[in-house]
Amino acid sequence: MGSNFEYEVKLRSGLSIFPSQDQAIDQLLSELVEKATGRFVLLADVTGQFINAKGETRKTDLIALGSLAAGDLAASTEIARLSGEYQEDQMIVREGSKYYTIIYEVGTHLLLLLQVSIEVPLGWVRILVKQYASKLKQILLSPPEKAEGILGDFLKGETEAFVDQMLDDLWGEG
Amino acid sequence: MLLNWRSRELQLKVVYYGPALSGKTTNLKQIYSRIDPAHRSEMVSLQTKDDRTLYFDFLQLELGKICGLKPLVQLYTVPGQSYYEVTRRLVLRGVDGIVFIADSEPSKVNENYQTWQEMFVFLKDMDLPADEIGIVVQYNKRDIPNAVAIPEMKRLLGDSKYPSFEAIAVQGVGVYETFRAILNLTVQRVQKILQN
Repeated sequence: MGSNFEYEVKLRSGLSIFPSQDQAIDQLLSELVEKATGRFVLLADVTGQFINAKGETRKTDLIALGSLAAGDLAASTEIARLSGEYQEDQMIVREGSKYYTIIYEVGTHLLLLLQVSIEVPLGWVRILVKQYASKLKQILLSPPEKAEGILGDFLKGETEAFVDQMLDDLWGEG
Repeated sequence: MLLNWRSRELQLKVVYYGPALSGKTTNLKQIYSRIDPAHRSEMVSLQTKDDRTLYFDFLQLELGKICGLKPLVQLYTVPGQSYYEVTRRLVLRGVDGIVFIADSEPSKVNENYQTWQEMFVFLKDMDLPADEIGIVVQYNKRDIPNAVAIPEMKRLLGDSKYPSFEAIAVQGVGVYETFRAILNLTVQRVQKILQN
């Protein structure tokens, strides 16, 4: 395998986001937050791994938010299942004093979290969230791309030495 | 595992699993306190009023670059009490590596075994083949006077094929070695999956 070989891969487990998908996701999230006049929108995978966010995100710990939203959705889904109310594409609506926070299951892999002012009609926001979730699902259904050489070094590398060195560098006395 | 080809980020999920009060949160707290703050998130803990884990603890580490990819490692714990079984299963979703924390207290022998067995049942239920997940065992609380002997603990768990480490997590002993082992194992497993 050369350094600029073309490598096509689709992960057997987990999620692989290709550059064109990443760009399309970026654009859709910007559109959604704008149309909904939202404070911010966050996309994560259902295991809690942060993918992208748009809007006023500077003061928010997005990594923690992604993991908590996934935990919230997983718990709500389980509550629905145990109480016989389960359906696909679960939606959680949290009403605060200033904002609605909506968490929505996007297919089997992703979740959307959108925060909007309580002055925005909730019905409108729900329609938008469902519309954009559907578009996001389509993006993920697109076939894998040929990504040039991105994984080449990683696939060939002796990772253990790198991991040990990095941890040694970052590990302090506490 | 989540791979973003554009940003070259590889997100990995490692779960610290084990019976109640075995030291899962203690391990995460030690890692949190020892990793350079510029390379870790704040630690999120969903706890009960008496500081027991209710849902999970969470911490993300940014480790720099490994052979062209930037691994982001997300560490989770599970609540250990038997009645939080459903929650433990939820936290295991999408796991790439597991550290099983076994308690060296003689009174915890059965609980260690039950939690260990339960973990494999959950992995099977979720169609996550245990052979494709990195698993490391930590025998914690080795400083207690009547700690169960290591060969006996290994026999009870039948864990001989998994790397294992002795620890006194509350003092930080063995935490680094365990973490380094699971990280290496997880990265190697991901490398193998991607090669295939």
